[in-house]
Amino acid sequence: MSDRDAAFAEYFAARSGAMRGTAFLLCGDWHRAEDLVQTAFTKLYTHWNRVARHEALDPYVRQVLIRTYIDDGRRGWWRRERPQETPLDRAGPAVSADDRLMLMRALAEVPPRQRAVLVLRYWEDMSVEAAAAVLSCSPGTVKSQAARGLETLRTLMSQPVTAE
Amino acid sequence: MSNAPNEESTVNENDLREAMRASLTITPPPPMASAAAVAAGRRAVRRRTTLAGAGAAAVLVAVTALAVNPGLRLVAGGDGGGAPWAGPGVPSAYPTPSDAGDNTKPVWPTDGDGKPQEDATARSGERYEQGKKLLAEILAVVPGGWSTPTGETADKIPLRSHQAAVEGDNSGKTWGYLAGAAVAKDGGTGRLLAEVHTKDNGLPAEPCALARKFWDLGGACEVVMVGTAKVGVVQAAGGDQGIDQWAAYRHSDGVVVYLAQSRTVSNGEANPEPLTELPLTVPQLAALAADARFHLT
Repeated sequence: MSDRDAAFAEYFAARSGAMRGTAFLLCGDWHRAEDLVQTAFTKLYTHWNRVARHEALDPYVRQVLIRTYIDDGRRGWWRRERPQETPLDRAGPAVSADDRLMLMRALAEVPPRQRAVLVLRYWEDMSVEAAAAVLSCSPGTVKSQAARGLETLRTLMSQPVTAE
Repeated sequence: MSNAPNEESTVNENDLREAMRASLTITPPPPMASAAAVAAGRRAVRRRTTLAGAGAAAVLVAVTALAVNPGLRLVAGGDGGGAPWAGPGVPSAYPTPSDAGDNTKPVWPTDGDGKPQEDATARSGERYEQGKKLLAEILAVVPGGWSTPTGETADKIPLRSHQAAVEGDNSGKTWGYLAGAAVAKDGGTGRLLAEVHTKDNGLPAEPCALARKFWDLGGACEVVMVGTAKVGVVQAAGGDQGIDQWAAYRHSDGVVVYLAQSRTVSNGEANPEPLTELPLTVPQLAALAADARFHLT
C-alpha cells in the first residue's frame, strides 16, 4: 500500500462514520448515505495530495458531500410518509421516541437547501459563516434558511402524520 | 416539544439536535470498509488518467489536423479542474458533531407571549413588530413603475420576509431586523433588502468599513454624502453572492442601517428571470440608508 493509500485509509477509518451520519441526516437512508460518503471520499482520493497538503480534509469531504446531496436532490425513505387524516396516538412526555421519529420525518419534508442548513448548523454545530462557505451563499441566507427550516418543521409537526 | 396533531408545534433547535442524535443510534449499519474506499479511489484515478491521456491524444490529433488544414478552428473547453474547496472562506477545521446535551441550551429573551423565545428569532411582540415594520418601510419606498409580487419561488423561498433576531450576548440588549421584498419590472424580478442593527452592535464607524461588514461580502466601496451624512455604498465584486449593491449608514446613536438591492429574487436556484436594471440609483440607495424611516430601535 502506498503512502497515499495508507494515509487515506487511516483518514477514512477515522472520519467516514461521522460523515455517513451527516449524510444520513441529509438524505434519510443509510444506503444512500454510504453512496454520498463514497462519492465524497473518492473525490478526496483523487485530490489527496492537494487537499492533504492544506490540512482541510474534513471541510473538503463535507463540502463535496453536501453539494452532491443538493445536486442530486433525491429524497429518502421519510419522503414516502405523507400527512393523512388519521393521527398517531398522542405522545407522552416531551421529546419522546415518537416525537423524534416525527421530527425526522418532518425534516425529510424540508426543502434540501434548508435541510442542509439545519444539519450544518444544528448537527455539525457550524457557525453561520462556515455554513455559508460550504453552501456558497451569504451568512444572511444561512440565517434566514435556518429560521425558515425550523419554521417549516414546526408547521409540519403541527400536522397529523402517519405512514402510508 | 409537542407532536400532538393539529396543535401548534414548539419544536426548537435543541429538539432537532436530540432527534438527529437519536436517529443515528437506531440500527446504524456496520462501519464502511477502508479497503473498498481505497479501491474506489484508485479506480477513479485510473479513469482520470485514461481520460487525460485520451484528451492529450485528442489535442495532438487536433493540432495535427490544424497543421494539415489551417482552415479548422479549435474551440476551448474543459472543466478547469479546480477542486470545490479551493475558494476563500473555507475554514481549515470544523468541530466534530456535538454530543453536548441540553446543558448547552442558550437562554433566550422573553417573547411577546411572555415565554422565553425558542431560539434567536422573536415570533411575537415588540421586536417581531419591528421586523414587520421594516418590511413595510421597504415596500413603501419601491419606486413607481415597479410591482411587488408575493408568494414564493419554485424552491419555496418566500418573496417577502421579515425577521427579528437577538444578537450579541442573547440578553436582548442588541437586535437585528432583516426584511426583504421582491420587486419586478419588464419581466424581471429582483429584491430590495434592509437590515438594521440596534445600538451597541459593535459594528465599525467608518462608512466603508461598516459597509464591508454586510454579510462579509466584498466589493468596491465609495462614500456618498447625503446632506452631511456619510454613507458607504458597495458594488458587489461579482460572482455568486446574490446581492449586487448595498449602502450602509450608522446613525449618531449607533443604530446601523443596511439597504441592499439584487437583480435576483433569492439566493436559491429556482429564481424567475432576473432584473436587467436595479430599482434604485446609488444616490437613492444612500439616501434611504440614512432615512429616518429605517432607523429602528
